Amino acid sequence: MNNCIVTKNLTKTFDNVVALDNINLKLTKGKLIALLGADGAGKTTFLRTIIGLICATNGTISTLGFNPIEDKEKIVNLVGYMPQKFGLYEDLTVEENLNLYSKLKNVKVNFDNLLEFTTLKPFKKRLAGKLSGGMKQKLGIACAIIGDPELLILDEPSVGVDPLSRIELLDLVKKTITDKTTVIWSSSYLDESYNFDLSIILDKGKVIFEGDTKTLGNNLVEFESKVINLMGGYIETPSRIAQNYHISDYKESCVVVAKNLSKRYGDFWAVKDNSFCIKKGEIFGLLGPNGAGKSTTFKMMCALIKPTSGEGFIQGVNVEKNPTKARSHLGYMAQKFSLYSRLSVYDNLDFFSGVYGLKGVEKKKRIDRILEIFSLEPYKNSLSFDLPLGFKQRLSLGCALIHEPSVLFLDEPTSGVDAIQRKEFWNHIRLLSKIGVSVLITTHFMDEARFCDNISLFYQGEIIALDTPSNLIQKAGARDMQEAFINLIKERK
Amino acid sequence: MIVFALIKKEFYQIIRDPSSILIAFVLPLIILVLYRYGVNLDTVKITLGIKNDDINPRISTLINSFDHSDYIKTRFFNSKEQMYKEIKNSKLKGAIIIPNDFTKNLLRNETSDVFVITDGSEANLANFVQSYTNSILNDWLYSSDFKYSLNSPLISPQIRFWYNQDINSHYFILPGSLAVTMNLIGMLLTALVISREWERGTIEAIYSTKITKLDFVLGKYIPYFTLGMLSFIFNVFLCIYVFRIPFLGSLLILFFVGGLYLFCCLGVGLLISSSYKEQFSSSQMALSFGLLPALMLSGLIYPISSMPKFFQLLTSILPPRYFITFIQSEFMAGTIAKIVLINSLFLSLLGVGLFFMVKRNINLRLESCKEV
Amino acid sequence: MQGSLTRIKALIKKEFLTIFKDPKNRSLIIIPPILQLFVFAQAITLEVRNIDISILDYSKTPSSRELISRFQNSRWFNRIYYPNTKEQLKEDIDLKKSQLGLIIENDFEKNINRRKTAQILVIADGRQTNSASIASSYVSNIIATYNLELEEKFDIKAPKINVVIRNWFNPNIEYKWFLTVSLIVMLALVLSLLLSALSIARERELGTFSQLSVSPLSNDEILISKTIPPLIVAFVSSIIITLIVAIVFKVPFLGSIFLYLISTLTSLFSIIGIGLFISSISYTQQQAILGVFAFQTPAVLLSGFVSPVEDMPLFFQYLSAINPIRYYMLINKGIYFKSMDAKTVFENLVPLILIAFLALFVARLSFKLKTEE
Repeated sequence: MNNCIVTKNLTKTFDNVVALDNINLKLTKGKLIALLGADGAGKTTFLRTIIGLICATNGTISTLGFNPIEDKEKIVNLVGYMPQKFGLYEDLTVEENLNLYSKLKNVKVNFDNLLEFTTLKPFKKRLAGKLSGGMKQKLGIACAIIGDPELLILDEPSVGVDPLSRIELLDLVKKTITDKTTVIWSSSYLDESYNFDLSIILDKGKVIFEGDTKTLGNNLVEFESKVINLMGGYIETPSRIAQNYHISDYKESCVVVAKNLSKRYGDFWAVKDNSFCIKKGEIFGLLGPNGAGKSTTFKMMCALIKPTSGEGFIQGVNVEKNPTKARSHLGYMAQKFSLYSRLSVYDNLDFFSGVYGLKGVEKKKRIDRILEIFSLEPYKNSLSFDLPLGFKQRLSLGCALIHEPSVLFLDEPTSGVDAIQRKEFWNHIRLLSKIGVSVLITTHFMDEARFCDNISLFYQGEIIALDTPSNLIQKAGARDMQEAFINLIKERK
Repeated sequence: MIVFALIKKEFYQIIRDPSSILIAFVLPLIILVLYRYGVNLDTVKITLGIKNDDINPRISTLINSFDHSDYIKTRFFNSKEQMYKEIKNSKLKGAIIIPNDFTKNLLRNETSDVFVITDGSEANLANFVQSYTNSILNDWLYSSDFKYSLNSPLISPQIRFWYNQDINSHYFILPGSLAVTMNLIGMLLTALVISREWERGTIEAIYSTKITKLDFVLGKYIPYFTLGMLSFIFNVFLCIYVFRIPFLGSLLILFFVGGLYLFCCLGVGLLISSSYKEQFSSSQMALSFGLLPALMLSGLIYPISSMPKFFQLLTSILPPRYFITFIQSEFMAGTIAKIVLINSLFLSLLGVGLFFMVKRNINLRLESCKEV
Repeated sequence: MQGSLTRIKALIKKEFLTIFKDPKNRSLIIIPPILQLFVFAQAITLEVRNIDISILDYSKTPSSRELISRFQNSRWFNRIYYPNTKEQLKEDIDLKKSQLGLIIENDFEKNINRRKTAQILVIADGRQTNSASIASSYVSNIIATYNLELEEKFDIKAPKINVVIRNWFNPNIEYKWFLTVSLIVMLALVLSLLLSALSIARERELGTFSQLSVSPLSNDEILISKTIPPLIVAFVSSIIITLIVAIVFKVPFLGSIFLYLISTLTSLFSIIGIGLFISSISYTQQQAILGVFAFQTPAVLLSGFVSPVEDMPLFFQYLSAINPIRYYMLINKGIYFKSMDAKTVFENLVPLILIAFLALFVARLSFKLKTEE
């Protein structure tokens, strides 16, 4: 009985959509396992099947020697599970959450210890909803490890987390477990696999790789291209988005300007004295840990919030004073999918083109072109809610580009999408920048940072570095952007 | 004990969310004030127009009767057309026309006509106009010197309103409205509590612990029952001590049956909540099917016995029906053993039935699996 | 200006799609109002039918039996119980076996024959004060008719007053007429309020609002585009319901169709103004629904539907001055039943328009404050 999880022909379908496709796995106990794959690849479904929250359509699964459907009561004693969104009660304090879960698992816990090494002690009395992103994750993990489970399942503990905090979270997990504990950690960041004993890569419900990540390559670029091959390969064709794309001929050198932008909430400076200039055709990256002030800067630049002091300009138009005019040059893609999910793909495009003042033949022409370029034609009449994540992201980009803006603001546009789609996405962006579109982008994928012309590194509301990616790497004495990021932030701490 | 941990958790959530306190204590206060001061079903004062064509000193006592009535406000007109126009424009609720041969006919021991026009578009006020004018005219006739041979009718009904001698509709509307309010509170509080756990993703974490179905269900029932009971006691206190509604029954029995009723209301709310995974759908359901029927089909204002058979049958599965019968009786007539027992029995049956339906709806999984 | 129109058109089109594209949503808009109209119209009446009565007849004479037979033949009464003692009669009423009690004393016939007044005690169950007073008025009517016959029989020469009643606009005072026409207003209220109150709150909760906010749409354009679709939907729905009331329930429509449409549109506009105000101060749909409820209950209770506004304490009369339902109820019924004249209608439309603009103005203000955060 050395196996933690054994599956045989495990298949799960939801209303004829295959979520898990004939999975055969034997996972030995005591390993750190990374479960990798894009959103919608089947990771969450697999994790839920392991503990019997949902049941397989076909095939069998055995968890720690038990059938998760029949013996759910026995399994729950041995398993710690953190669902997506962490399963925390946001209106309960840190302490109350821990208390609740220890009672639910019927174990006595030394809370002082637990709080101590999760570094949550100072926040003991704070509501979970008021914690910062990283802290919530720590609390979620703390709730899951109560009762020293034999099997610890964490669903996307690192989503939306910057590289530095990701490493801290994994260290935290490693410190709390024994040699016998099996950990399954799901993630859409492929690069995380380097820290695990074993990786399982899922794609469209199938296992496309199982084993030690290092056999796939020694660095991320190599590794990623291998994964893309496993997924069926990708041949880059020049993006046609740039053809027939007209941008206004704005003569000044800086298309987007931030002048001493600051935002203060009470005593707290979310952003302090931030200035930058984005030139025509430049891709400008905003990087930084969670809560560093990236989103606030973003929102001030779109005039969604009013700066405490300072000004923002798009093509020379003050965004605060004349938002309607400034925004007509702007294409915006929000962090979370924020199109109308109950409308069809076509209706969404139709709506956004109308909002940007397009009509008649021109409107139809543009919509058709977006549908064609992003291969959305077959989905034209489906609800955008039903689209796979990658297509949702294409649609978001399509809606942001429909009025041919000369400035693009992209807030974590690639989180959760798979490697191929990320490549496609950057293919479009690079070409757009070549014809003169200026791009402001935030991301947690450090490998994407190399596509930026300039990077502004944010920490605690201030810019701590602003340079080209290669200069930053050099300055930090690092091998790649990830290391540069970690080093530069650590220096500040 | 897992249940205690769940109850504690739910209590913290209640305390931190001002909306539940608002629902439990502020909303009923507003509703009671509205029913107490805004709604008046009996001593309605109606504006009537009078056109008198019979210029005769003998008629002045009749005019005085109308003028001094507590229920009627009079306005006198010289032109019929003007008066009719005022009815049309809803300035008058009715009109009385006394023809010029009125006293002449009475003096001849004959029958005199009086014309009464009501505004039928206000059906209930039209009924009031009819019965007010009828009784004022007849009382006047028997007390006047026209009726020398018989100064009161041969058979004279003496009407007594038991349990409510003053015929004050607030005495029955306010306790009755408690039933509607408790229904609303029970539902609004619980209709969202399970859907909310789905939407926030906490249900998954809870389901992957040692929790049992009973733990989960009791963990929802007990905290909201406690809150609902506090709200009920607060409501009863307002009714009796602030709005001075006479209470003849026993508080102990009132709270006991109130508890049974609350148990049913929470059951309905939790049943809705456990059937939907989205707060939007649950609140839609609660709003469209939970509230209006309780107001319209519970017998609070509209008598159940006058409904067609099918709808009478339908009302027998509505908990408010039993509670309204009980609470009105308990307030106005005191404790009547049989009324208490029968209504408690039905409420218990409904409550227990709902409890098991809620429990059946809880799966401890994210989907229902056929047991292998 | 041109661009503004195109933007507004696009947003309006989208609003319509969100309302009608989702079959679940569509059915929530269409089914409940019509279902409620039919159920309430069939089930509810203020008339008290099927009354059970307990009669304690101490007299047991032809006269008393004659009187009792009148109850047997009346369409209002259902069962007659004959208790033997006062205690039994009390129990019948206590336990709600019968709603009314009648005690005929043993000198009943003797008094009548001597042309003296015979008293009858009528006991009504005051726990249901409303139905009790209606039921007891039926008893009075039956007795009054019997009285007249007796006077005739005994050839008593006495003057009588014959009250000739004309119920204008509703000759038989059918409660159903009153109820269905009032329901037109109430169902329109629920629908227009729900549609408008959820519209901004939902976009905020689902995150699409930020996407709207970064588009060139101005706040005014958003507000205009959020007003028009619920207005049209609620307007069409009111017309359909009015048609059902007029055709299926055969309640005669007497007024001017033009005035009716104008006043419906204005009233809905005013309700939607309030709905958008609720929406603009809500972060979540749940808050919006609570807001809807907090507005709706007082608005209906203080509209004059349950009891006349003039009868309320002064404070509530002032409060109801800003209640759009009050005006809507008044003119809707006025035009429908009575062909109310245009002057009175416009007098009541003025406050509706004022309420609408005030609400939209406040909505616009809080809207701006919220986008700040």
